[in-house]
Amino acid sequence: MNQVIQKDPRKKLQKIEQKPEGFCVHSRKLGAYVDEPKIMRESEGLNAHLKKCTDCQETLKELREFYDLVERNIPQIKLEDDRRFQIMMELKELYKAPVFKSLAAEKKADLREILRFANEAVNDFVRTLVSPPLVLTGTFMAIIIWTYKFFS
Amino acid sequence: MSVYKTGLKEYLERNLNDLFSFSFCLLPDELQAQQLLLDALSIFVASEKDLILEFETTEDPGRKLSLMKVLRKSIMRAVYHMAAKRSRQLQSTLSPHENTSDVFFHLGISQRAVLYLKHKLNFDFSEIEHILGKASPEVMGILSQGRVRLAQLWGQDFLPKFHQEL
Repeated sequence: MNQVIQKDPRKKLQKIEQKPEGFCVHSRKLGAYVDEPKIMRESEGLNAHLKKCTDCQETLKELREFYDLVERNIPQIKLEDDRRFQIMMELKELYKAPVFKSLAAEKKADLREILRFANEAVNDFVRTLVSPPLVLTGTFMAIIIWTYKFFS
Repeated sequence: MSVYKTGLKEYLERNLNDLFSFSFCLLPDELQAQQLLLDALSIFVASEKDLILEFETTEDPGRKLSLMKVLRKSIMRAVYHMAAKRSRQLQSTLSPHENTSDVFFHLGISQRAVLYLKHKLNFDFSEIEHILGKASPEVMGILSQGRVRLAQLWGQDFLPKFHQEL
């Protein structure tokens, strides 16, 4: 379990708490902007304001640090190998569900279709190869080549 | 294997860590979390046949990626809703895990879910709304309250004014 608190959160909060009463009115909106970076990228007005307002810049920095601190201190359990193996074994049962059966049947039908096509192509090729016109043509060509080689 | 060639099986194998850790964040007991995940996946497979069929058969990379996102939030939604029911039933019997002394587990289930999805799995608000089945302002409120409560549990009784008003 990865749950080591890397920094004392109280110190961070004390720092935020020292903020004077009359902070910039835009600071109130910054939390939402940090949470949704897309809004921040698209909000030209706020970006322009942030470049000028040192109060908001500081609030934004503090908010980011605070959210980062929250993020680092949310525990995240590691899935051990034996538990992963157990879950994978149980999931094998899940893949026997009707939806997967119909998918497997569909794939099997597709494969059968491909094999049938390949089989027919090979059969056609062999049938063409031994057909009377092709045999006659081949024989005729062989005679011509032999004659040419013999008399030259 | 290419992302575009994967089916549900490969997707689950690759994302098992995230799914299990999310389940554990909702039900802080390894065995309960495992069972929760398996049950939620069974319900998901039974109820989302069309989605699974399309995900398995589509070969268009763009469509595959968007379906993967839908798949991800639908599975998380199944896990969350089952955990919400189960946590009420198990409230008195759920034995505290050796690591549940962590203050995070003193938060409500929706606060834990939102904080985890936002901070650990980087879901955006629209996805979290879908998972929790709540509107955007409500989700933002839960997230903000979760952070404030977490800070209070760390030992601070109140937060600065601007932070309270977020």
